[in-house]
Amino acid sequence: MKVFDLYRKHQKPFTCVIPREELSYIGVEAADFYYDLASLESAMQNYPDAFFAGYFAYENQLAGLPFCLAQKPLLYPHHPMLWIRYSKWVEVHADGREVYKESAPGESLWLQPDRSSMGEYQALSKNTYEKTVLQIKDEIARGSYYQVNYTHPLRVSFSAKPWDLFEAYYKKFAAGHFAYFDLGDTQVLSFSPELFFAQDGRSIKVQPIKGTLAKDGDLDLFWKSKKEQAELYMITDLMRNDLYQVCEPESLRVAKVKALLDLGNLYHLYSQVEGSLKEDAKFSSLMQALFPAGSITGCPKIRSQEEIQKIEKYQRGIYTGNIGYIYKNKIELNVAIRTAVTYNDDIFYHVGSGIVYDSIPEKEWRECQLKAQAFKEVLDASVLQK
Amino acid sequence: MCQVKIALLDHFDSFTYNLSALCANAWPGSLVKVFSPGFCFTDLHKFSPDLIVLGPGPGEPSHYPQTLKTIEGYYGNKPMLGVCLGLQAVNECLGGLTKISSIPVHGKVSTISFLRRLLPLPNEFQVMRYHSLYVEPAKDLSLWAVASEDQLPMVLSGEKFWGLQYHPESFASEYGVEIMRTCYESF
Repeated sequence: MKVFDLYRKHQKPFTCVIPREELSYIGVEAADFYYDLASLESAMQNYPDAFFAGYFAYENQLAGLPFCLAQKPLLYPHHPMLWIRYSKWVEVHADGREVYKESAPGESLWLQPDRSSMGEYQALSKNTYEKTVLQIKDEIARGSYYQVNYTHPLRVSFSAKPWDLFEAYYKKFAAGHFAYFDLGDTQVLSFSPELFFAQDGRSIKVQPIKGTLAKDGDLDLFWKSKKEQAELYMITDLMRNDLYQVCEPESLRVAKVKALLDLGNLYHLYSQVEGSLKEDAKFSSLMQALFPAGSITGCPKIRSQEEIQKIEKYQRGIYTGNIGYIYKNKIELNVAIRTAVTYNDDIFYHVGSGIVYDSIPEKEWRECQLKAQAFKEVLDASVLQK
Repeated sequence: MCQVKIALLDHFDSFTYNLSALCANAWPGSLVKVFSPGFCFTDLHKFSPDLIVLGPGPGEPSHYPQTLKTIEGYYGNKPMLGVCLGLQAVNECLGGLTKISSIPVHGKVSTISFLRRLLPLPNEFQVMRYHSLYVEPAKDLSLWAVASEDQLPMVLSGEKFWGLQYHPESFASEYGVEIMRTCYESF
């Protein structure tokens, strides 16, 4: 694919690649860095034609919670949010056409992320995991919440080129919302199948994913499963709730109630909710209403985030945050699941699943393993071994 | 349709704005104001609502003292509609019990069947449920409908009060707008 050849030609620190079937982007020359939403939003106004790409980490002041999310240990250094304005970027069209674009040069500086709360990695045991799932189920039975997305990090030593891993995964497995960022000391490789939201002018759509089945599983049973459907419906109602805060109420509709996503190695269910944004809805109000994505918190959102804060040992970091781009009147953000981050000689890859009352601990553990399978397969492939 | 002023009591739920949109849909031009836990009673009083909607939420009624106080202050005087936790809160204030059900039904669609007609609603329709607790109704509440699957109380009424155990605001519930209007018009 053209975008991979072009990356090799242009690569340097802070290059990003957003490969898409229709129109891919390569951010080449980083001009300005933004570490908070207010300055990003004013830059969006000041440079209306520029290409922006970046991420929001899960632990972010946007979460608006009455406790400090950042108290837990970090596995790799990163900013709570980081957006880059590019002064040079390339658009690669489906027919292979490359269009070189430019915008004003920048002046803001790259600040090293804070490393003070780095923690030592320890793998989560199956036993601890399953005990926690049972605790979650007890809380659900008591009515404390309805679903919690429970996740944990995996660590693998890694000495190959991150870009080679990204390319190998891209060629082998499907995912609609890939993204690659070189951030100097770390690289972010997002193989996400999930769209958080896509905004085009005043139109907005969200596509939450819930429910997972291995490729060799029973598709008929999966499709009819009340447990998988409940996970999805709950989050669909939650996303409607979040969207109502920024959309014209009469415009909101569930365009897809339950649809099947085939990633090659596994299946998911997803839904689609669409609407028209209120005239005065700014990017910041949209983020405040929607962040973090309901599919990776659970339901209700505040209560499940509190539970996540209690049961998960490490900061999630970029995992389950959002990665994407802003370009003219378009914004596309993924939900950063199936996302790997390199640091020193390691690569971190988190996995998780939505726990509901019908969850069986052993099956949820297997689902977590399943979500790492494609990543591990590519990682183990001989092409990446030195 | 005349403008309806609705006070919607939120309980840190992720469905509050769906309920607010349902109210706006049921009564176009209505004014819906959301009151979150810890709200000021003077504000609620000054707002002078035509209808108080007690929203759903996690946990149990005793976790929301403001809501219980609102019920004590307004029950029987102001039209009230309780959804899920909102119903449980009113039921507790009237001496009923909230119990843990054997099987939680979060995100599950059920058929509800009416024990007597509530016109113009059909006798049976599909609704979305999000609950692990259910009400053992206070004696002042009348039971209108139960869930076909487990026979748990789904629609109840009291003095200027309607309670729904299911979620009328869900995309998977039928007759959401109609049941809101039917309840309000009965007051």
